[in-house]
Amino acid sequence: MRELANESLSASDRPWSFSISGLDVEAELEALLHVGRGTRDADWELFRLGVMARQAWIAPTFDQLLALEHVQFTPLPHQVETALRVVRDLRGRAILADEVGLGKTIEAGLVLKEYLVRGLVRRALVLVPASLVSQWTKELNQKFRIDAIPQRDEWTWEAEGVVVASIDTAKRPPHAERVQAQWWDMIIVDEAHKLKNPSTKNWQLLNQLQHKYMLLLTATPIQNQLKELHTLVTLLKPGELGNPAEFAERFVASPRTPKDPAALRQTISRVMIRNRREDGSLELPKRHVRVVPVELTPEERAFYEAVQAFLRSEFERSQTARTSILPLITLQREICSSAYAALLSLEKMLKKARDPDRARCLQSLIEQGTSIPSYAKVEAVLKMLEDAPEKIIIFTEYRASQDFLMYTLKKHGISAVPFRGGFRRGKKDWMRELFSKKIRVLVATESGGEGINLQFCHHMINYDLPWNPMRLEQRIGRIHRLGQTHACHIAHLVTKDTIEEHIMEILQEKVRMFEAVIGRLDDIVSDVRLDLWEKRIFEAAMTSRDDEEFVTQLKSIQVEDLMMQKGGARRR
Amino acid sequence: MNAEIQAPLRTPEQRLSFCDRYFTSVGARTLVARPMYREYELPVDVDKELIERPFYWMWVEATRQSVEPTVLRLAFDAEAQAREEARLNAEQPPAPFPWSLKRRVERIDFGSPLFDRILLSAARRGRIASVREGNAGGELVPWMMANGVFAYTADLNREEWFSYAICLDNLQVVDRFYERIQHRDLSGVPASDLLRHSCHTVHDAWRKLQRALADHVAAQDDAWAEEAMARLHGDLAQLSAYYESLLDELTDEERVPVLQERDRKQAALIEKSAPRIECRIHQVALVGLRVQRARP
Repeated sequence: MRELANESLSASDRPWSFSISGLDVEAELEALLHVGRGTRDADWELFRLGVMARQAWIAPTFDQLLALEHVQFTPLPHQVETALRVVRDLRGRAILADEVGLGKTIEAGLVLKEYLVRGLVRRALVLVPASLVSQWTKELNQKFRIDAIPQRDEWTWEAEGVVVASIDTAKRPPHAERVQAQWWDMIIVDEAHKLKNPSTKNWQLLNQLQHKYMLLLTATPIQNQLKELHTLVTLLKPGELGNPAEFAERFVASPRTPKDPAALRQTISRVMIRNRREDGSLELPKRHVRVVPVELTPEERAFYEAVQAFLRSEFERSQTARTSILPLITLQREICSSAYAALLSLEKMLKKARDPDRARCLQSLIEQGTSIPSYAKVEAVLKMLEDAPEKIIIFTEYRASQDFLMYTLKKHGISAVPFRGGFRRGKKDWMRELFSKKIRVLVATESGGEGINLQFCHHMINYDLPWNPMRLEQRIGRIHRLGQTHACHIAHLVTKDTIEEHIMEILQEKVRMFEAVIGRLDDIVSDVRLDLWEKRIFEAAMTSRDDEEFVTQLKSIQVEDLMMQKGGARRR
Repeated sequence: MNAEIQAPLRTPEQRLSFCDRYFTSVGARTLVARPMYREYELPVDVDKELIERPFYWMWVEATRQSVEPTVLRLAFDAEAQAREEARLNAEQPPAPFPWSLKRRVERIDFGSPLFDRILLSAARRGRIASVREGNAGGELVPWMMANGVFAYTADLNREEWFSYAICLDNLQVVDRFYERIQHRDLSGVPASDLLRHSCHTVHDAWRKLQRALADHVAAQDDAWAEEAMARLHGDLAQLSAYYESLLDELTDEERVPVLQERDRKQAALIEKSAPRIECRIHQVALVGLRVQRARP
């Protein structure tokens, strides 16, 4: 088919330019005359079908979401509304900042599909964490029927259509140069909080890319400081928030406190959409959380007490010697997870120990730990697997606990696959696929969980508990999220008469409190760092004479205090 | 007429009828026709258009193999799909690995990739025609018809389907031409038969028709473009103010990349938001109408 070069006609006094394109009319008629093409009866029938095809593809109005007719599922009302706002009001450059689990991917997919259907986007680049490349590609293909391909080598960048790639690959040579050489009709960046710093390669790469539309997806547009928001917005619309100095002058009272929140919110709403769970009827199936108390075996109990005694003496020593308590916090958390996990830390400490007394003490602890004949938590897991015949995901904080669980499950003939952050993309996909299709148990560590959706499973065991309530939420969010159709059953394994038991109790209280407080925080300051929280728990454990005092100390920690110490996020 | 057009092909029955007509026109055999279900055997040229597998054909052609023609099994609603899949599975049990099993019956709905390719094929093949009204003999008036789309585009777009025609005897231009002739009894005819006695050349007619298309566009309400232009000016002003404010603290050398960055972003904004109207010609046809009904 010969195409006519765009022929511009004069429209100089009008606010638009005009061109005629498409078929080369004279050449086509020439073919009709001399070749005789198009003169059969069947040609007229095809002509009439051609009319229908073209009419079927028309975008009849500016403000209708055509993508809805083309996708394989029914999006939720807030997702449709968001996609429409992005294309109509925000004109294709936006930060999608929905809370975790509300479907930012769906919204971005709808926007991309809309532009594809309207013929406004032909080439698009989707930049995501390496672990999510396959998941994004699959979702775009299946849900949105978008012909997306995962980036494989340096030539993929030049491919037509939609390319899904890892941002870490894209920023490295030889890729960076090739990515920058392309024109992209649309760019989507998932986990865009990784662009919060303008001096990083991530940000600089994005700033160099030539594009029309851009979507930045993040649940936490601000993690630490207000200026991160400026950095993100500047990628989308340079000048929307002024230059860094103007932004600081106009909007920033202190790094975490906006000066004129109403004005900032107003300005931000021109580039950012944030849906929150509490806003709409975004009801998820019920979540049943139960605490399963586990009684330590006598040998485990003895080992636990011995480690506690060791920790206390080490803590006292660190107070006078002013050494870091971080390794101690780790050991305390590990001993709550499993004796097995603690053993690895003890061995590391032993290797570094110079004081012979300390080395002897560590050596005897290790011997005590390795001689434990059975583990109460593992027995509890096996019992639960017997009782509930469905697919189940087991979360633990530690590799050692994960390895031990895998080993035990295998020994008992229970099919299980591991999952962790360090796996390559393909391996993660394979594990997820195996788990969804034929394997009964997935044993995951925290770091492997980010962004992976496991809605097909609705049972979870928390083998140990993170001390940070937000992390617990993230774990549960892997299965209890939009798309989940069953009630979710979550069991927390908690060993009796250990600090874990008390932490559990307080943690649940704190989760509710955090929700309440974060609900009251400025919309855009969504994430509060809780490093201090872990330290406070440990200090409380080390300095209390008994359980009662420990609980009192824990309860006295105020969420507000933690936040004030981190820079005083504004509360309304 | 565009506002009155009901978006076509939005019901399963319309899609089924479309596919029947399409596959018949391209010479595919219909092997099975059951309620909302068809099996079509594809000629090679249609296979190449509808199924993307260039390497397969390279291999077939290089090795001069004769291959079985592809059979498409299409279901037009869920019920037909379930029914026919069950039938096929009963005839031949599925593979032992349930996740490796490809669906054997393809569902045709609006937006399905295969249906998109069928539409695209119809649009490509049906881009040109030469027809006359009634049987041979009788005096005919030749018209040249151009169908296509006006696309009004800024940050977003709106499209309008059109069918304009021009009489090759007197250069009279008529809008909504296809709508007026689509139900008439038309059949294929050599183009030379229609053009033999025409008073004007195709070249002249096309020039005049282009003018008519431009006039059509000029007669539309500009408000959307005015608004888009105002927004674009605002965006451009914001962009240059931002880069201007950065320049103060920079040396001459440092300014160069910053200014390049600004220019690049400016160009991208214009590409994204500048209002433009494109008239895309998708189809051309010569249509001979009988003299007594020459004025459509």
